[in-house]
Amino acid sequence: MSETCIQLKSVSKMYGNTKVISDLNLSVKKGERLILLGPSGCGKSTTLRMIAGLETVSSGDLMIDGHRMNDVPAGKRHISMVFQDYALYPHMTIEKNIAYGLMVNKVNKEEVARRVDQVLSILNLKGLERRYPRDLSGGQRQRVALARSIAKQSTIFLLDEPLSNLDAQMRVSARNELLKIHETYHQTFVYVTHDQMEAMTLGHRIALMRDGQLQMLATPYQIYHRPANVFVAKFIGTPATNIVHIHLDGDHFHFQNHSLTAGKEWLPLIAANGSNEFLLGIRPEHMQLSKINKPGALSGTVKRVEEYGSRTGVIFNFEESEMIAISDSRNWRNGERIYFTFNQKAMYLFDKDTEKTIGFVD
Amino acid sequence: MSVISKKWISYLFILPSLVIFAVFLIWPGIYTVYLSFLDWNLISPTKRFVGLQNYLSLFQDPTLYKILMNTFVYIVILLVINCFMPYLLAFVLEFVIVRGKKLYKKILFLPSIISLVVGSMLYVWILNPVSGPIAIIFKKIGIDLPTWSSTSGLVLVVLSLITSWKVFGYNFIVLLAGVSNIPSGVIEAAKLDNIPLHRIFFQIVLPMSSATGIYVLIMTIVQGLQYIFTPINVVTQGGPNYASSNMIYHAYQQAFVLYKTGQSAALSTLTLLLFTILLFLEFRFVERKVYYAGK
Amino acid sequence: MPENKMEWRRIIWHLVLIVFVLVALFPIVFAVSNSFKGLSESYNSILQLIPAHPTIENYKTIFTSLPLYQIIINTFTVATVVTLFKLVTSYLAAYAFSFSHFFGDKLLYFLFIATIFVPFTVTMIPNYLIISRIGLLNNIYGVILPQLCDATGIFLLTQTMRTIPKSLIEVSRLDGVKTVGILRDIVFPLTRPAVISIGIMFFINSWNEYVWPTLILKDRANFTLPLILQMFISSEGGTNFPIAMAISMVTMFIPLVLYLFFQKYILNTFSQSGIK
Repeated sequence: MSETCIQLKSVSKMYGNTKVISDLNLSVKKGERLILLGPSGCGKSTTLRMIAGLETVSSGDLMIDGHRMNDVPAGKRHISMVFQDYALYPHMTIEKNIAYGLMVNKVNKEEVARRVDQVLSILNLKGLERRYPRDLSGGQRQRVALARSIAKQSTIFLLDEPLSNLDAQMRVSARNELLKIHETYHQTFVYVTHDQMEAMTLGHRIALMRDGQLQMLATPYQIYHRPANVFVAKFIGTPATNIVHIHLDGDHFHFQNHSLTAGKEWLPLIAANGSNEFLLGIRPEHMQLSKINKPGALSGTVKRVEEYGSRTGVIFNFEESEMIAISDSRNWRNGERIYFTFNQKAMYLFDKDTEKTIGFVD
Repeated sequence: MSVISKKWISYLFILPSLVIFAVFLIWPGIYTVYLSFLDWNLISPTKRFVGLQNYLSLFQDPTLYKILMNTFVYIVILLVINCFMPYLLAFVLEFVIVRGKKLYKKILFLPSIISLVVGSMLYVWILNPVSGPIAIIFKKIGIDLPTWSSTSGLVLVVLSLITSWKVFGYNFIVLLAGVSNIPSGVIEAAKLDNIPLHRIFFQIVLPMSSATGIYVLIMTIVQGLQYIFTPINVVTQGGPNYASSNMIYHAYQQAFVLYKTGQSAALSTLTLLLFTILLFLEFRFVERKVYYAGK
Repeated sequence: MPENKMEWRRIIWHLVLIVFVLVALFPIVFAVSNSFKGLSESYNSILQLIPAHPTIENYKTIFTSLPLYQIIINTFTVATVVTLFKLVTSYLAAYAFSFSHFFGDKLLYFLFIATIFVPFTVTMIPNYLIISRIGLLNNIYGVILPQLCDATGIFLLTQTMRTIPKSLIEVSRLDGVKTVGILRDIVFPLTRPAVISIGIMFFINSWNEYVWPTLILKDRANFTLPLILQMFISSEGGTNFPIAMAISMVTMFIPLVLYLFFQKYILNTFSQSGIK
């Protein structure tokens, strides 16, 4: 799993004068499942489409298996792609949908039949050969799209939000299907999604993008526990990480009216950073709420309570900002004064100007 | 995003159309403007450059004003019959009558596939002021039909009616599609609020289907004036004394009956200018204000 | 009470629409009826829609006294050539406009569409000169050529093709399908209904074309149907009313048959032509 399969070397993409991807460096290992994650318009789909050859690369190099592919037409890259809308040919039967690309590529008839038969049984589509896409349910269509891509037997599998048109339950089973397929064929997956849950469960690594720039490229664990910057911290995790401005004076963190003794473990990192202005990030699930004041606790006023079923989200005003904490208790009332603490080892500190992490302590 | 891999293929695909349009539309268009500065009779080997003379004599000729007026009257009548009325009926059919939509569509579209020469000839007989069926019925109740083809004013109305017979159906189905694109919830909400039908039509349906409405409006003017050529040529040849001629027919007559090529070209150039202004106005002031259903 | 009022309103509007239906249909019924009447019957009982003594004499007469077979063949040839040619050129152009970006694509498309608004008088003299220069006056090919210049097909087909999801084209490109393959295997099957109805409209419009043939064609043997019909409105044949009705019927026949067979396609495609 160490061999590089796809590599983008300072790739940029321009539409007229607008830069939609700038200086993107990214490499995908053979057999890896890489997730391109980010809000809409972040350039994740454009990146995928450049790899596919559906968009040209404005500058930089796109390498596949060590060959420069910038000018190789899409049809010669031997890549499979699953589209968000599945892109099934409405006028062809399921069988024909799968076979069409193979026949164009002069795969012999027996082989086509064999592969069609194989993918249909893998994806539980037997019996639907003669149906048309319009006769199928959303989940079945999605599986046909997968089947068609598998039948092509290419080593690179691009998936552009393939599950976003399915309902929540279907998504979970489709996700498992995808994992099963990957375990069978070990293709290199590049998977675009805006759903962090999907990204976390499916990805070996996640490339989180914003405004055409790579924010972080890391494993799901790291991307959650070691966010490289404020954006990553806020994007990953629901509800989003709380971000508050703090100022360091001596060994104390100062909020507007509150202050807190800085944990010793942070001091070397803080010293290395130079500046004394930080953004503090705390995950809602890392906060402990209480109705009773304790030493070292900060206080706020409950604004709203959200029910999540197993747990409760408590939205409260802390000084000028609004924060959210997750609590096991349900016993919170609007307007009530509350006190919160958090383990400093689990918090993040970002430099206020660069919004980048100054490091981690745990 | 480009899905054709090689750009030259796109140009190649457009080339045949481009050649045809260059030869039979662009070049002729330019040549017509050129001819409007020449004195020529379509046959003579010599053409004489006369500057704006053709335009001047066009404007000095009182016939021009008569024809401009006729053109204007034609436009007004065509708009009422082929734009306003089908709009109203489309609305009524969609939101009041509801049932029978398909059948009405089928029948009302039918005449638009029939030659306007056929239409003209049939209506010439049907409206024949002496022996036509309408005349006979009217005579029974004591009314004599006027000889419309030689009555100024009336002739414009009758020729417009004949043209409308063909044009109405197409406009009707287009407007019906435009009107039915309006989300029915909007109309239902208005009905629940007890808003009278005429206000629903003018204040909700018209603005919400205006993209289609304007398309039909422009097409009615531009194509209607050209369609009317047929009944004019078939029934009156522009008479009596230019009372039924319009800009299109007059340009034709100048060129191919009177052989005044220069004046015909000058008139055509003016018509083109007029249509261009119309189109420009549409794009400039109307397109951006219209409501596009579903956007 | 309001229900009742609604009901009345409906009935009244139905009556209004029925008046329009009568105006639309009466001329056709009138033509059918009188084309089967003898000359005297048509004059004496013009109001009677069902002929008392139906006869096909009028049809016999027009086919024997006029070169009608030749004229039908002429009309058919013109309409067929014009239709096929326009379909192919419009189809290719629409494909380029729908599925690719190239320098000047938007402007070029706009210019093509704008030509729909150019009145024919703007081009008629030079086109007449072109046709006369290449020796096609009084020849049906002289009628055909300028008719090929029509952007409505480009407009309607581009609108139709733009409804095809781009991903379908992309997925086939990833499979290495060539442009010709995409056209033949994917775009064409998906646009077939539009192609059929646009083709039929091209055919019918060309079948009915009147203005240009009057300029080009001089001899009866080269005429198309609308031209021969026109002769029966002017004084020459003006008195023989049932004969004129029979020729009207012949002129209407093919468009009516096409419409009856393909009305669903035609109505769908043309309903959408004004919606951008």
